[in-house]
Amino acid sequence: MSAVELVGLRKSYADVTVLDDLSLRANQGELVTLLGPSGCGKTTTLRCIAGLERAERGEIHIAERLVACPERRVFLPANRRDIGMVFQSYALWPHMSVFGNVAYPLRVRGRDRRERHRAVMEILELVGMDSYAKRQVTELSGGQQQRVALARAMVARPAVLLFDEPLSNLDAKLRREMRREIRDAHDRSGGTSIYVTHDQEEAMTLSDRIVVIRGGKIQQVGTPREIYTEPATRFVADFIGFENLLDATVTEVRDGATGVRLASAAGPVWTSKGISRAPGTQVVLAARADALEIGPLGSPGSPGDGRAAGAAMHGVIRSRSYAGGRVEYLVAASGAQVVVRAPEAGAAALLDVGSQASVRFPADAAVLVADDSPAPSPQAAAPAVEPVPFQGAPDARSPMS
Amino acid sequence: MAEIVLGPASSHTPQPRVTGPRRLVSPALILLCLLSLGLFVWPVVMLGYGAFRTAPPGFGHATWSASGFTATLSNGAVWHAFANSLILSGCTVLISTALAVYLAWTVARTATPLRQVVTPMAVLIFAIPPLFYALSWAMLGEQPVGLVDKALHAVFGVAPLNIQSWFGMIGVSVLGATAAEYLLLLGPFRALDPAFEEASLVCGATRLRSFFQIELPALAPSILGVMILGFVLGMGLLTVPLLLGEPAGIYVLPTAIYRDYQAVTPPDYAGASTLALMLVAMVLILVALQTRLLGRRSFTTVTGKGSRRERLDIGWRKWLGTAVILIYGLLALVLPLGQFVLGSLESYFGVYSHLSLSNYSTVLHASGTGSAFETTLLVAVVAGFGASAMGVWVALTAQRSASRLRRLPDLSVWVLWAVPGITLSLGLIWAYLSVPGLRSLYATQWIVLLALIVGTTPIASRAVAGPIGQISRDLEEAARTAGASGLRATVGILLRLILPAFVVSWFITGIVSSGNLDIPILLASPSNQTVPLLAYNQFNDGSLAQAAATFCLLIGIVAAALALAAAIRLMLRLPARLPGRSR
Repeated sequence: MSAVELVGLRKSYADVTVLDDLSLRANQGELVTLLGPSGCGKTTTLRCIAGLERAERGEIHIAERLVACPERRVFLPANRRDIGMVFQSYALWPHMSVFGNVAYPLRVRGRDRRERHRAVMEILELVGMDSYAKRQVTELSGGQQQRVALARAMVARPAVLLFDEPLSNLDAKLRREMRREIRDAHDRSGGTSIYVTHDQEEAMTLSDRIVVIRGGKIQQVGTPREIYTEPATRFVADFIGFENLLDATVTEVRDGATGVRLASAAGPVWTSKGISRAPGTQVVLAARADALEIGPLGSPGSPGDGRAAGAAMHGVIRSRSYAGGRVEYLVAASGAQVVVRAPEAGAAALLDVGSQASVRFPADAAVLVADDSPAPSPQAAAPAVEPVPFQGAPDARSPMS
Repeated sequence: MAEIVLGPASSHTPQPRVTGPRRLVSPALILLCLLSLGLFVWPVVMLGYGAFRTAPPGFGHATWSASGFTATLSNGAVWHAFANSLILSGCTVLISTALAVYLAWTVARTATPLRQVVTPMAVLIFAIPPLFYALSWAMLGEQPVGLVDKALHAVFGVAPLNIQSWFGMIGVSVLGATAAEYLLLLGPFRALDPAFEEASLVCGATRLRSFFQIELPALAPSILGVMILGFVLGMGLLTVPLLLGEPAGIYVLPTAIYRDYQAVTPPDYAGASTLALMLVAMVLILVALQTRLLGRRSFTTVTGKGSRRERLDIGWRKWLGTAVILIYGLLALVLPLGQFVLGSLESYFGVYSHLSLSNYSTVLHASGTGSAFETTLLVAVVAGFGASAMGVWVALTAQRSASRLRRLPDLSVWVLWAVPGITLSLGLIWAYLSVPGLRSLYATQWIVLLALIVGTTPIASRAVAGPIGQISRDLEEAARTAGASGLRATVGILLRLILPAFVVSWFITGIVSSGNLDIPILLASPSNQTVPLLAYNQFNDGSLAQAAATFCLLIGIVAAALALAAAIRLMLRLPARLPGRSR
């Protein structure tokens, strides 16, 4: 049974298309995350589900009930959709106490006083805020406000919970803590949740399924593991934190594996992950910095000794920095730059900036993805995809020893 | 302005205080404190003093006596006037606030056609002095020759409307008060996080329910603040009751004060002061009430993270909003202005044939006119500048000084809110007559000027406190670390950033000063009367057409100033928009 279903949703502001034929299903009990850069349409999608914005075309079903369909002139306003929502700004009403805020959905639904009290205290206890019931919401800290907003969204046991970047105003530590609490609350409620975020780590740890959106279009839908290990397109790979995206040409397809040639590498790179294309096709080889190996030029194993060791690429080390237990190198090969993070193996094993090095691509270390640049929509190109920060020292030029 | 609370202007703009060793009290601060006490607190103190003296100040042989005080308080007519004041002010505030809330909501949140004209219209109405409203509506409803009166006659055969009545007084007061309250409420309505309403809708509440249970209560501090301010100003309202109430035998406290002072010989100083004290007591009770109702609670979280939203489509009801805007514009601007222009062209008021400019030539050639315009211009420009400079000084001190005394000037200015309109004039007379040097200023234009500076400083300090509070201390500190001296950082960075707010404040206080009648009516002498006083006297003498011509000239000058300001603003903005120059 699908709790939320979107079919062919379309919306535009003036002449900018915000949602472009977007279809999506969230099953009962699932927590689905809409992930994408700012301006990609994820929040608009959420607000359309909530009934706070109207799409121009398409259908929205909540709990098997059609709630919006402009073609058939169906539009159920937000207050009749049986939903709960946590806002980015929390939107706690400043003239009401914690109790008053959380009790409001029940008051609106006409529940009697005693039941209201019981349900509110129960949910406040669940989020650990029962001792704050009489406080004014303006006296609470960010994390506490977050908990109250969560309790208010859940108290009436709505069919669907909607989250609009609820953790973006919290600091990193609190964010991790609240992430767990939101997941707990979702599991206990047994309902369906749609969660909007631009933070890939948040999406990974929280979701049952992730929907990556760009320019109002769905790029990929999958479990966190699928998205993390096998992104479908260059955009998803980049957004999900693949440091190396290299243009490549398919040369050979054998035994379910594909061999590709990089512009600057000797010999083919083999991988069975990702898309499969006929020889001669242009693709993108996506590799995480941790999956590659690096050694001085001419070190043992560096010549291409078949598929197991992987092909090597020669280049000059441009910078070296410490990255918390690992060493990060930026290597410039002809026409491409490659980031490699190698285990820290003592000062003697360090490669010097300016020296020649060889970067190896072990088999299945990289993923073949479709080349989808340029951006499909003009507004998707503008907001920069937030760069995934390298862990550790940011200054790549500082000498290490 | 997210909150309107009748209190010291700077209390809602927290700034990081200077930490470290407490600075010594500077000579400038001492000067400002003395000046504040002398200008703002002294007149209020003297008002209380005057209620218990047998003779006006400066006339040596006065003694202490409670007889004037008790005689006034035991006079039934006084309490009647007091009750009338409450009724007038209360009704005006209730109606105008409802209207202002509706207009502010319409403009801030809905897609109502014509919503764009409301703010310019309100600014214009605010710029037109209350005396003008009182005069023009007195003319509009004049039986049987006023425009409205004639129109009603034509439609109904009889005119059911007598403007010189409770109905007229409240109606005309509402027209002016609505514009001011709307301007104060628009900011809070715009600043209210749209997510508040959305959260309520998502919870299952309807739009209407969300409006009354969420949006309105969340804005309650602002609305209550505006209501109390409106009530205080309503209690001090002189012109409307003078022109529309008195002829119908309705007295309110300000008109009673004026009559005690002006119409009785010798003036009943103690009586007038006692009446003024009643007004002050009323205001203080209101402020205490507000503090008690709101406590220390702050709803400043109304400004959430700005989220984009579409304007509400409220269906056919938006046309209701358009109709309200049109009717309001007609009653508050078109009719009064039309009547004035028409009236000024009539050879005798009410005679619609033979329209000519003869009134203008009569007015322009009359001996007092030139000097009245000169005085008004001087007084408006200088008083506006003085009040704004004072406001900046007071606000800067309250927000930036490290001394314990920093709040004193701000509190002193705040005291003035308790003495609306003519009460202040009375207090100023007592205050200045009691000081030997200042006594010689009596009946000169300088005393009018000084009184207007004092009277408009509360407005100025309100207008500049917000913008000054928003200027981050980092900006000055950045200048200091860049090598600028303290003086240079203050002048080059701080004052430069304050300048726009200062100019706006100068403009507002200048316009308010130019139309003020409460102060010149008690303080000016015939030789240095201002334009409002001149027009009022012409009206009293029955020369309605000439009064209209006089006022049309003043409105023309004010309108020209407004247009000039708008043009300058446009010109300053244009270069940034030109292609190639935008960075």
